[in-house]
Amino acid sequence: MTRYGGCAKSGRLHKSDQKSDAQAALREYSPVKKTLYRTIGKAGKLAQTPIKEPETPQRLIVPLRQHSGPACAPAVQKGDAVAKGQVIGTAGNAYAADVFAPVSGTVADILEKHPTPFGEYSPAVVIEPGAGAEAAPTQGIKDFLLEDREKLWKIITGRGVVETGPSARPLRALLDPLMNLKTYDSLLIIGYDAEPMVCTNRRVASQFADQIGWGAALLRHLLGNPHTTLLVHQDDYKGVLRKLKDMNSIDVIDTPPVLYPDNLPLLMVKRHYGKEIPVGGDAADIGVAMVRAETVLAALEAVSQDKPMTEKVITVTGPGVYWPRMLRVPLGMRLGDVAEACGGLRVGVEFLVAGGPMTGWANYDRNAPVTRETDAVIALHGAASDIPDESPCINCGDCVSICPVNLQPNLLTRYCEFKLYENAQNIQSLDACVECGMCGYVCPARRPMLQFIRIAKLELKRQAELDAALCEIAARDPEEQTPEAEPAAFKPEAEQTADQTVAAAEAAPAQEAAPEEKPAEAGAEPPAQTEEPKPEKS
Amino acid sequence: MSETRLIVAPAPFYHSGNSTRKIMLDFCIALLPAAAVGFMRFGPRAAVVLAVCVAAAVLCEYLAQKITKRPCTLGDLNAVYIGLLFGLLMPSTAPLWLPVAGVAFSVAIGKHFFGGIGTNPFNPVLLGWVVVSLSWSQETASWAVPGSHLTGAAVYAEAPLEALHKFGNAFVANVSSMELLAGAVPGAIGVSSGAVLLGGLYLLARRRINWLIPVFFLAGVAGFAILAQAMGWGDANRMASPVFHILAGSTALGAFFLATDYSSSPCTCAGQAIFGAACGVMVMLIRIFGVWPDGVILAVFAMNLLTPILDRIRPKVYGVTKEVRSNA
Repeated sequence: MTRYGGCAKSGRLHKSDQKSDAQAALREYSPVKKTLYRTIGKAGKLAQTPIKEPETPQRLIVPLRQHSGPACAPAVQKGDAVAKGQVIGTAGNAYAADVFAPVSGTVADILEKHPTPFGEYSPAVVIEPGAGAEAAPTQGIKDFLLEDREKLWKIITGRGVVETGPSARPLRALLDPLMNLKTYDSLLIIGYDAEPMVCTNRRVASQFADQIGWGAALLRHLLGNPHTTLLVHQDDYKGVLRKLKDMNSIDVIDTPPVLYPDNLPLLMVKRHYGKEIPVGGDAADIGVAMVRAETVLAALEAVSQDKPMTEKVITVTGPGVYWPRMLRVPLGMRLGDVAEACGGLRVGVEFLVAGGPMTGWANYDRNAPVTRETDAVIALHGAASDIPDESPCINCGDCVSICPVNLQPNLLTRYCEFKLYENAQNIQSLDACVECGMCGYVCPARRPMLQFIRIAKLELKRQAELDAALCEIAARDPEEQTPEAEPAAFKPEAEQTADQTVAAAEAAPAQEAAPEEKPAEAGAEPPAQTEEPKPEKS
Repeated sequence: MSETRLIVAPAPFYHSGNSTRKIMLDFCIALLPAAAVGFMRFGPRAAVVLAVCVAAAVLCEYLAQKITKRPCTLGDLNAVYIGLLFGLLMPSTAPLWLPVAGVAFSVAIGKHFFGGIGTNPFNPVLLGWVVVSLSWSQETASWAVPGSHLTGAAVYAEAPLEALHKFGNAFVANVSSMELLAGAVPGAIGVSSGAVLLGGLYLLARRRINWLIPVFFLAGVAGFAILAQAMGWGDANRMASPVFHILAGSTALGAFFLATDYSSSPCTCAGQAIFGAACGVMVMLIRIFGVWPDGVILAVFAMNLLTPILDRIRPKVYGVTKEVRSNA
């Protein structure tokens, strides 16, 4: 257990703590990051403003998939009256989390397919706020440190607590030592946001520092008393430390004065613990339970107030909104309503971005709702972020020098561009990419680097799903397999989901077998099929 | 409710504002001091050669892209840069068909045959120069004496490195560093290493090139010169000081402009350091043991071959462990 030496209460991460290589040392002094910081990095007063609760909008569209797993099954029907906190979507497995009604009202509709702010579709429940049903009485557990762990985990799971942000894994699937069979040395609470313009977790950590302290105590209890560290933004350090001065079990440290992308949590883990999170794994693999401040707050509220996760703190900012604000909105509030709560969009706003300015997703639909993944809503003018006019890569190496994980994005995206996804994976370690977006930011040729990488990852994932589906069939009925038929039959079907592929793959051997039997009956086999082994023999 | 149309675009939603055109413009600006000094030393004829080179490069790029039906990329100024750089390597007295032939080869074969900007395995300027100098070695290496245009008759003389190579170090003993910096010696249009270094410093200040390649290049030249002197390698008569080797010929041009060509040089720190040092050492190997007086162009040209291998020397990727690698 290597930790920084002997510091019990608080500490600072220093540059000398990092075991850096030459590439990282040069990146420290890159002027490009400073340019980015000067443009958009200063959160300014927004991180100092209290979180507000907006007025309840006319209509909420609550997606049933707000987690990494499959979508929930709707637990209500059209026309039902629902109470605040009532379950409206039931989780199918451990990687899904229940979805709750954020307000009392009636179910106006159940949509099969509604856009999420991340370019996907999800079934959704439309709720019109109103009188609704009688809310069930809630009872929180005040002295949770005396409770049984399994009971607390059940409460947290039952209240739908997921890690906020892009990973969106249910907290239990993310952290429970009994579920992922990990032991934890350390608990690291991320109380800042790496990306410029976003200050959601930063604000939560500084405004609700007391609750974070209690939430940390809860998590420590659940995880078997790991060493606990709260990593906060350097400007909030003193305030948080003052609020947490009675918490002896938690170390408060501040982020070193490095700029995006060198302040990404996984790089902080390396600085702090001296270990790297392995590719394809998560922090739990090196004994670090890494969790965001907002999630800690949600877990605490679930246990102590019996409050389901129906709200999300978001940063609404960008040059396109009149009043940049920190809002705590009900999940399912539409992006258009969020913008209205901040004074509306300015004239000429063309980009409504969910997530940060470097990694977020531009939305075409103002009806896309806020989900548990949404950290920020950013409105930009067309001029601030004009659509890239792409030209060929000139190999200048700017992306290589800025990459926080030492990839070579120039070569990597060339593989991706020409659909050589396997090479991108095997030669250039595609899956090590953390998708920080800096390669696209610096690219003089304005290549959509991040998009190339995301497409490649998506295609590889689809390919893996396809392979898994084929393996499933092979394992199920080995006699009916006709090996020659597989590749030709499934190449064009890469866009299908795994379930559809299974069905299609099951149907294909049957079709393949049918014409073979007919010539056998007739006694005249065409020459092309003579070499093919008959299904009976194999 | 009047709603403007929302646009979907990939992240990131901000851009540094850098562009290929801006980069190439900076490279062209960095060459201007050398071109100005060339004009001063060799008169209007130098300007004519430079202008013909640039015009030939632009025309050639236009035709190449017209014929292959590719989008026209003249706006990125890369062709202008190639023409300008090629012109600086030419003698001011060269017959005008010579730079035209060289530039045409550079742009058409060196750049566009390999797929255009960013994909050429060799620096196109070097490729054109090598072809021209092997084909017409007499015309390519007939250096005018600075100021000879004022007398009317062209006066040719050996460039300092040629004098060193042919006659020994006694003949270059009286060539001072100041003369080399100011370009007051016979040579190509870009003879003034002082002006070239000035341009190189501009590129470094603008962060258009990484300091690793030029610094290791010059260190390789100087280091190997000192080593060769100390070990007594080669002909003792042809030994010269490291300062002379750095300032004479096209060493500075090679270190800051030829070796740093984006697509034919490595991207990673380690690769760039090795590449620069290897170029410098190769220059000295050619100068001491070879038949060529000024080995810069051939050295960089040969080292371009190493780039794909040097690009494989890369720092450890975060989170990639040996187990992950072996599983892949």
